[in-house]
Amino acid sequence: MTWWCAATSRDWSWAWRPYPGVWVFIALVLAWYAWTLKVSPDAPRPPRLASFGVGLALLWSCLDWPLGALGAGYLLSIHTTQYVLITCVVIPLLVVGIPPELRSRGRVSRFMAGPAAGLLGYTGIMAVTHIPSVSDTLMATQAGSLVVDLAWITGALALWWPVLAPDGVVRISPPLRVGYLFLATIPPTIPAAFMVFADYPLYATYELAPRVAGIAAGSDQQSAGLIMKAGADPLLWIAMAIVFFRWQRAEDAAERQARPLSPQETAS
Amino acid sequence: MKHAVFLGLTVLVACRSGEAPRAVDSAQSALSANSALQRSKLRGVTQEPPQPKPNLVLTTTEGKPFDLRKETKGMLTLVFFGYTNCPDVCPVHTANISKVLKSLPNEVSSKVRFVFITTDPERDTPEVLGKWLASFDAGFIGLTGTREQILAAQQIAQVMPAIREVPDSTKPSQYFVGHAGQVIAFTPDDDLAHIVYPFGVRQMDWANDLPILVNGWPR
Repeated sequence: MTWWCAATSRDWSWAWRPYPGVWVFIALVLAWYAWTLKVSPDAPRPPRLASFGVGLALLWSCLDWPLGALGAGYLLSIHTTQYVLITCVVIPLLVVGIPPELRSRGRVSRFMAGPAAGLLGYTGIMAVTHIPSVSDTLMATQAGSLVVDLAWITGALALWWPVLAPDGVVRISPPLRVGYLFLATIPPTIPAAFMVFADYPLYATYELAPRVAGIAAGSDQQSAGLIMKAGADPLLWIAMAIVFFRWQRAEDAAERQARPLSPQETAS
Repeated sequence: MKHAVFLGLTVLVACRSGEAPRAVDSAQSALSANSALQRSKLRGVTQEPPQPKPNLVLTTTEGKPFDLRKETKGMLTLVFFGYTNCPDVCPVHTANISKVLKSLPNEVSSKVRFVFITTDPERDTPEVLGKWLASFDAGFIGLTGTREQILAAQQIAQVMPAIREVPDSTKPSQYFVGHAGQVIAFTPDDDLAHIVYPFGVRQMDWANDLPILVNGWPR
């Protein structure tokens, strides 16, 4: 039985295929979230609920048919799109959706909130899962493909935790967080450059897969490289802008509070 | 050419030292070692004994007779049996060879002939076959014939005869053709296939092997 998307030698068909393992995984995440809401002392806030809901829906669409199946065994460009979405959109949305008082505050959490641990964890997982021999081996089996998806989720958590961990756990100031996110745009440049500039396809899985819509393996790989860089960078820039403007707003508010009121302000 | 220059230089150096016969021996052993090295670099599957190029006359997509041995003499000839409705092996092999030939220098690619023999002559009319191959490379040669001729061609070429697989008996026209998945490479110097390329061979493998094989089988 096929429970998780993996590479197969079957020709691609737009006929729907069920992947029950993905449904179970999504149901578990949802059940865990419902539990966090239940134990949270605060009433659930709609923006947080919306953030988690959108993140979970995106995660589901990344892992299930058709994106999951196409990315696992047919098109490297879809595989990379999944990676970018999970890393730069899904995980930050999910983390923001968790009530801050329930985001982990343990020793591991404090360690992972350091920028070095975050960058190394994220870069290491990104690098290893994009080594052609590793990717080809893992994507050939359902368990291997699950490992890749879980590794991406872990890598994304490592990336975002120094930015989104709760107060008291975050160890870097907002300007440094901007710098940290900028640094995070650099490592994916290496696999992206290999994909764009390689003379021949790097991944056997996608080179030898039955073609989808006549897309050649070489063009698919070049698109994947562009998505990895030009798709992910703007998302990280948006995150940098959000961190920067929030920090600026907080600074302005703090300055206003600290400043003594002028006579006109007092009169009014 | 490189071999000849190497041999010449070695003989020249040896002659100057007055030891010509021994030098020729050592040059030959050096050449032999070089050929062994070249063979070890090849990524296809070598076959022993090599298979002779089949004596086939089929019909091109222009409707002209094509004598495989005569028309491909002196060329590295890649022969593949497949069909245009194939969902996996045929388009991947054909696209990979096409991509690599376009990326290789002209002095290599101009010495390679890719011959695609259809195993589905009913659906692969000359027009259909020609159009399909041209979508990869206008220089690819498509051959067809009667069902009997195609069957005989596969037997002569020592490949598994293709079989028709009808997944849905209510739609007999929508069938697959199970066929041999390997590309047979006949080297230009001896018209023998010392090496075949099963499905799974990649573009980087072709890019590695074709420049070696266009110069003949390394021996």
